[in-house]
Amino acid sequence: MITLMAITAMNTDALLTMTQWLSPSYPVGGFAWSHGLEMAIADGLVSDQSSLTDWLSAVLEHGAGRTDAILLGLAHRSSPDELSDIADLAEALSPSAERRGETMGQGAAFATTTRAVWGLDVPDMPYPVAIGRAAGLIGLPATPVAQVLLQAMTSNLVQAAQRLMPLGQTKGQIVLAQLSPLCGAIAAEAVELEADDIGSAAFAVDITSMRHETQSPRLFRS
Amino acid sequence: MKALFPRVPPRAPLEAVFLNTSGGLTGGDKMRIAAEAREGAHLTVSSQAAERVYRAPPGPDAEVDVTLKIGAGSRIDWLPQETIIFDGGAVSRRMTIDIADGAKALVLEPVILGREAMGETLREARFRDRWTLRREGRVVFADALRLDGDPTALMRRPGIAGGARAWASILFAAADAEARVQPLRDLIGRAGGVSLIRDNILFARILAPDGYDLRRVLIPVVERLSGAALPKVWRL
Repeated sequence: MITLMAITAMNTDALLTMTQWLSPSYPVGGFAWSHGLEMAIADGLVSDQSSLTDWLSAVLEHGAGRTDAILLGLAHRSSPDELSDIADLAEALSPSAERRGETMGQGAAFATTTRAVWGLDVPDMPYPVAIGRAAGLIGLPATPVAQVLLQAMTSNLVQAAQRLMPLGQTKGQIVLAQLSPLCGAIAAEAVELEADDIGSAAFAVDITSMRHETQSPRLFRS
Repeated sequence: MKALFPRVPPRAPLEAVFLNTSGGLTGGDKMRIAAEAREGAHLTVSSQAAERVYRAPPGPDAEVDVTLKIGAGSRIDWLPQETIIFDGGAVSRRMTIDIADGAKALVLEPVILGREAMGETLREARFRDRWTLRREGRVVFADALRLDGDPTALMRRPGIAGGARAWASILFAAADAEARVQPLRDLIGRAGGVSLIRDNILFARILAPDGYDLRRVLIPVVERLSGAALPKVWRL
């Protein structure tokens, strides 16, 4: 309900800018990263629709989903002076080299395109920080942006899973539809929180991203 | 709270062993430890025994605050024994490490959920741990853990811990960190992961079904990184 009200309150231009930034065609290269899912599938930790749903809900509730939404909210309301500290923290929180590459690579690509198209002052920064900063600059409210970001992240990982294991298009969309309320709820709560509230329990998700460094052959960069 | 300084051989690193004389942590307790190594010094810190976190009455969680300052050319090995969380335990920890260029840090925190000897299953606990490593004043590594609610149900999930009840976090910040990655991968195997996250910063996490299995993987890993046997208190 709160989300719906926030979106109807958003003007049409802002709404469409948000969906452009977070659509799969925005050139951040999200398709190249699996967040460790490629290793999780190779290890048999994720093998079907239900185990994928559980894995992704752990990412959302106890891993990068919640953390990125907090970082997005912090960047959204920060002063220019505070922004570089938030960017440093976001980069420092990467649990592995590939997860650092994932957030830095997508963030730099987002910032480059957003500077070029809208002329916004968004330096190369970790992905959620760059999005939060850009959204703040054009007056987009943080909550719906974070909600759509988490859904886009989930959608990207569902697509990665579809390249790595047998999972039909319809089942993939069922997973996404089941997880969308979680994206909405976690983002709405997390954007209000402070840096001190950041905390993960997604040990296994992080470990798969470490172990992915030596996985061979592989399709994904994380 | 006491600090003991066991006798060590000449030219061996200074060893400090801290001891919580109250026997454990509970709600409202605050424990602060600060250690500093100045130019060229090498300090190893460990704990006399596992730290027990008891059921907390309503009110503030137990707090543990550790700060390590490591000057140029110096080194601190922070090697406490396990923290054991009892059912209903609640602890909030912070670890702040300030490191100069060319200094070394080895930081370990092993955690076990529940008393295994009692076959205890945790139904409720709160655990927070926030690490911040600053190099020459800039944050270059952070780790934030947060477990809340029913930790047994949480840890059972495949994306969380697949039923493991114990874990260890290991940070190694040193100029030779990169060379340690492959040997550590071989030692850890499928029990966890290790990554050179950025220049000179290695991080590893190990999951284990219980404290015994955790030590079995952890001890060789830590000894490989420190280049020495663990402090004697670990063997008592």
